Amino acid sequence: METQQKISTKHESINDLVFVDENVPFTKDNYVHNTVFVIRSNDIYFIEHQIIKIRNSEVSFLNPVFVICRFSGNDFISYNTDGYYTSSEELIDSYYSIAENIFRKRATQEKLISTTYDILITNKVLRYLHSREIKTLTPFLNPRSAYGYDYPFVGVLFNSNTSAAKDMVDFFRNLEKENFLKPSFTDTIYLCNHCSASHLLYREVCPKCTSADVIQKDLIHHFPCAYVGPKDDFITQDHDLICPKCDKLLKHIGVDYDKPSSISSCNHCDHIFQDVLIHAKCCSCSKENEVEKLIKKEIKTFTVMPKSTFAAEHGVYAFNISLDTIQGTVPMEVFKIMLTYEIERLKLATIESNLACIKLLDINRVFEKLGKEAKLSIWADLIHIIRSTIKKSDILSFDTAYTLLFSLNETKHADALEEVRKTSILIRKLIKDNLDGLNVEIYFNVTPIVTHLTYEDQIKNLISE
Amino acid sequence: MLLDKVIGFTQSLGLFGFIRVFWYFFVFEFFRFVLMDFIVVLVHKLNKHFKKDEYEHALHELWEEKPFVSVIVPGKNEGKHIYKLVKSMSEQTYQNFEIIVVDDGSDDQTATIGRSLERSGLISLFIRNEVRGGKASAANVALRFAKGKYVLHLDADSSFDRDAIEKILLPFYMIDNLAAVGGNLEVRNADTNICTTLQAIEYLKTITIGRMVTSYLGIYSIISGAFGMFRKDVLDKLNGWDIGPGLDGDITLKIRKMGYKVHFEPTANGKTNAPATFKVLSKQRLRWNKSIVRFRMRKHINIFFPNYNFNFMNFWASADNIFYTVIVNFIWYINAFDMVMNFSDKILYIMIINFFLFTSANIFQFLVAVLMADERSKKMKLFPYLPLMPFYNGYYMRLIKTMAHLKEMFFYSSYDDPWNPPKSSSHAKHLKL
Repeated sequence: METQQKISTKHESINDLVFVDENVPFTKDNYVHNTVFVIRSNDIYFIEHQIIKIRNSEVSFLNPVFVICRFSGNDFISYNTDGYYTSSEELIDSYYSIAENIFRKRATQEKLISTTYDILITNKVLRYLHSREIKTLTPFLNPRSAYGYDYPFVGVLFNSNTSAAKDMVDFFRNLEKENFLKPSFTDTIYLCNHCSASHLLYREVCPKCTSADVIQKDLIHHFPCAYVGPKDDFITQDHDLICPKCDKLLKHIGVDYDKPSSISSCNHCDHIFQDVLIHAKCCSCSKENEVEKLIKKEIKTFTVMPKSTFAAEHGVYAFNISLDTIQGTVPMEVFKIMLTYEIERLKLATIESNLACIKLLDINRVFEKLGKEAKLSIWADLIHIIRSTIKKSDILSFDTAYTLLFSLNETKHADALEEVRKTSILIRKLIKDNLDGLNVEIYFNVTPIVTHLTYEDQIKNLISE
Repeated sequence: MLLDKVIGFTQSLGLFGFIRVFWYFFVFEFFRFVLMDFIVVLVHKLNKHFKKDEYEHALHELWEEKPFVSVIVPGKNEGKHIYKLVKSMSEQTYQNFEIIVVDDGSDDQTATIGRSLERSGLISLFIRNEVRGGKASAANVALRFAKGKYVLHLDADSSFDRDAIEKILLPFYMIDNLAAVGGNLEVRNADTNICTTLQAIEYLKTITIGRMVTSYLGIYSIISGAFGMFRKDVLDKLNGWDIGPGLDGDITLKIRKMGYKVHFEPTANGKTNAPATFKVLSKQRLRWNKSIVRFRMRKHINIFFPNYNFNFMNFWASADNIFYTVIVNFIWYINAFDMVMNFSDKILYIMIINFFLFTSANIFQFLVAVLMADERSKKMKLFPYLPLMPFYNGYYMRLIKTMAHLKEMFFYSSYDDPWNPPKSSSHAKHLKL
C-alpha cells in the first residue's frame, strides 16, 4: 500500500497503477486509459496467465505491464512485459520512464477499427512494436510453445497449441509480404508431419517393425581364427572374453582382436540390422514420424521496417496483394516518379493538377466474401470500370490494398473533386450491386499538387487527412 | 622340311621309344586327364539318364520343403558388382532366400550402395565393418547372422543361371550325408582379351570337367568361394571359415574330415570375371598355389596320418591334389632335364611333338567339356585358341606354380600376402595356421 501511494504521488501522467495479484486478478477490461499494471506474485503460472489476459484484452493490450516476483529468469515474463523485478524498490526506480514512453508513443497512434481478426492482430502487433520502439523482433526459446520458439507479444496473441503455432507462422509471412517486417535466419526447427508440433521425442527404432526395443551390440573379430560375433558370444561369467571357436582368451584389443562394427537386434520381431532408423514421436498427437519426413521450418528474427511505423500510427485496414500487375495502374514507384515530374512541370507552367486518394477501409470484407484468391480480380474489375469513367491521362496507383491514388493532371480542383466523388460512388454501387448489398466505407480526398512540397509529403498529407 | 623331320623322328622311335620320350605326357596327362575325364563324363551322362526318377523325386522334395537359404556375399570394394548380383538373384527360379552382404572395410561406394539396397529391400542385411578383417572374418560375420538352413557363399562379381540355386540345392536331396555342394563356374569376360580367353578354356577343363571327375571319384576337395552351398549346421560346427588365402579349399577339407560328403554339381552354372591382365592373373595364381602348400601340405598334413581319423577317400583327395599340382610340376623339370641330357639334339622335334600331343589332348578335353556345357556355339569360339594352351599351362602356369610352391615351402610367403590384413596373418603365422 505504501509503495502504491509513493508511486502515485510521484507520477501524475499515469492515471492509475493497478496491482494484480491472486486476490485481485486482471478481470474485465474496463481500466482507465493510462493504467500501468503491476503483477505482484511469486507464482510463475499465475503471472504468465495474467500477462496473457492483459495482452489479449481489447483495450489494455498495449498498456505497460510490470512484474514483481521473487523468482527471476523467466524468459516468457521478461519478453512479454515491460519490466521484471524482484522487489518494489527496483520497480520504483525504473518503471516511470518506461511507462511514460509507452504512453507517449501510443498517443501518436490513431484510433482504428479492425474489420477482421487478421487485421486486428496485425494492428496490435505493429502498435506494440511501435510503442516499445522495438527495432528487432527476436525469437526466444519457450518449451511450452508449440514451435519451441516464441516471440515477444506475438506469442501470447496465439495460443501455444499446434494449429495456432502454424497460424503464427502464416501471420509473420503476411507481415513479410506486406513489407512490415524483414526476416533474417535464426534457426531451423523440425516439426511433426501430422500436426506441426515441435515437441518430438527422437528414438532409435527397428527398421522392420519400428519398435524402440532395440539393442545394439559390438561385434568382435578374433584375429587368429577369424571368428566374428557379438560380444555376448565371447563374454564369460568372469567377464573374460573367450573365443567360442578356438577357446583362446582375448587379451588385447588391436593385437589379438578388434571391434570392426556393431550390430543391432530388435527384441520385438528378432530382426537383425546394422543401421537403426531414427523416428520422432510427437508429444502432441503421439504419431510417429520418419526424420526425413519432418517438416522443416525456419525460425526468423524480424527487423521492423519503416512502413510498419506508418502503419502503426495510421492503422492497417487490408493487406496488400500484387497490385502492380493490374492493368490500368502503374506501380507505386512509377507513380512517385511521375508525380515528381508533374511537380517540376507545374513549376514551369501555369496549370492545375491534383492528387487524390480513395480509401476502401473495409475492403477485406469484400475479399472475405469472394475469397482471398479473388483479390486481384476484384481490383482488376474495379480498375477497368474506373478507367472507363476517368480521363485517359489520369494516372492510377495503389498505395495499399485499400488505398487508390490518382494523379489528375491538368485538371481544375473542382473538376477533380467531382471526378473522384463520382468514382467513389461508382465503386460503392458496384460492390453493393454485386455482393448482396454489401456496404463498404469509402473515404476520398483531393488536394492540389503544390510545388513547394516533395511528392512524399504530398502523398503523406493526402492519405493522412 | 621340318615336318618331315619330325615325322621321321617319330617313326624312328617306335612305340616303346615314343612312350620313353614322351612318358611325362602319357603318365601324367593322358591317363589322368584325357582318358579319365572322358570315361567319367560318359558315365555321368549315362547316370543322368538312368537316374531320372531319382532326380524327379529329389526335385519334388526340394520344392515341398523349400528350405530357407542364406546367400552370403563378403567382399571389399565390390560395390560396383553388388547390384548386378542382386538382380541375378532376383531372377532365380528359387526365391526362398535372404541376401547378406558384408563390406569388409571398403573405401569406395560399397557402403552407400549396400545401405541403399538394404533400404529398398533388395538385400536383407548389409553389414559394414569399418575395419578390414579379411575375407574369412567377413564370411563369418554373415554366417553368424544367417538364418537359413543352407548357406550359399558367393563372390560379389559373380552372376548365375536362373536355376542355379535350385540346381545346387538338389544334390542335398539325392545324396546322403552331404554337407556341401560346389557349383560350376565359367568365365564371363572370355572375349575381353587373350588373357581372359585362355582362362575361359582353363576353367572348362579344370572346373567343369576336372571337378566333375573328382566329385564322381569321391575326391572332390575344393568348393569354390565364388559359388558354394553349405549346410548351415555343419558350418556352425566348424565355426565358419579360417584365415585364408585358400579358405575355400581349407573348409572343404575340414568338412570332409568331419565325415561328410561334398559334391560338385556341373549343371548349377555361374559366371565370374577372370583377371584381365597377366599381372593380376599371376598374383592370383601365386596366391592359389601357395595355399595348396600351406593348407594341404601343412595344416591338413594329418590327413595322411594313419590314425583313428584316417579316411582313405580324404587321403586320396589330398594326395591327388598335391601330386598333380605340386609334385608333377617338379617332375616336369626332371622330364625337361631328361630330355636335355638324353635327347639334346632332338629337343626341337620333342617340343613340337609335345606341343602336338598336348594340343590334341586339349582339343579332346575341350570337346568333351563343350559336350557337357550349355551355349555350345559360344564356347566353340574358343576353339582357335586351344593351340596356345600348351604354352599357357606348360610354361606360364608352370613357372607361376614353381615360384609359388618354392616361396611357400621355404619362405612361408603366403603370410605376407596383402590379401589378408597383417593383423590376421601375423597370428596365423605365429600359430602356424
